[in-house]
Amino acid sequence: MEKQGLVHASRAKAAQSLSVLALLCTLGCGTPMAVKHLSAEQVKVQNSYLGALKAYFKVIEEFADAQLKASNFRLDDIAKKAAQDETNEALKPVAAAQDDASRRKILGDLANNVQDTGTAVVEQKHTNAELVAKLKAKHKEMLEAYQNILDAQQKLDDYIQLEKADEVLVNQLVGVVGVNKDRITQSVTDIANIEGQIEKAFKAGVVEQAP
Amino acid sequence: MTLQEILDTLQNTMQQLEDAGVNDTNKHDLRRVITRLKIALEGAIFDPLRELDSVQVPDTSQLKALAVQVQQEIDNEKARVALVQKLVAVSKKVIRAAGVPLPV
Repeated sequence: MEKQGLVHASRAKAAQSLSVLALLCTLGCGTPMAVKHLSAEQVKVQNSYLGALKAYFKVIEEFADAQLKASNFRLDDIAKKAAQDETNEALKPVAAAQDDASRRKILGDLANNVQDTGTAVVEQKHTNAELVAKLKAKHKEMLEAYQNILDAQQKLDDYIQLEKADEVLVNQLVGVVGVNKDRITQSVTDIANIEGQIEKAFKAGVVEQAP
Repeated sequence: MTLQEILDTLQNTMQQLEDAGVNDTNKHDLRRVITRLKIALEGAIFDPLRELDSVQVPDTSQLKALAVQVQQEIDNEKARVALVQKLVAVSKKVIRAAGVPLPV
């Protein structure tokens, strides 16, 4: 009987200590360091990714600008050659024209044809430039969206890294008692082990006392 | 048939007309068609960019509003921390005043 009472008392005390320390530890753990580290790393990686994204978009935009320049050059060349062909084709009829009216009509048609080609070239240049501008606008939109995502992540990280009130409270309390949190965590583990052993001893005692 | 293939075919026809010494209005019209096609081909290079209209960038406007709320929580938590620190400091003074020794 005496042995059983001792076991009961030890068990109750251990359970009480366990509860108090577990409560302290739970309150004082705050945000786990693994979570803080991952959060900080995520912000760092996202910042770095944003830099890579900006550099990548810059290269693509420079490539598009170069394509646009090359295309404009070719379009100018097409217009120039077309004007030359139109002129060459008009030379013979102008020379063969019987009167000024006929000559004027041929020259008028020549001017119209050259102008039509010129207009088509200008319109195509404008359309192409608009598409490249659209590409740049989309890049800008994507970067702004990513910056917003990053800002939100940074804000979450600010909160995660923040020392919470319960954490501060327990840190202050354990400071008053003169122990550190690691020791509390270790104590909780130790007590849990001791409780397990007491439980085994208690069961063994009950079995021994059983008739 | 791609624009380039059509252009190649027309240019071959043009060449055949020139080789045959043909120099009439039809040949001139064909040359103009080729010119227009060359211009259109310059546009085709940039055509894939038209697909950008269908690329939807996610709406992140909610994130900004929610971040403001998180900032409010951060401010609240800082205020709670300040209060806890003040309470603990006062408690320590009271305990010491009662003659209970505390670690520094």
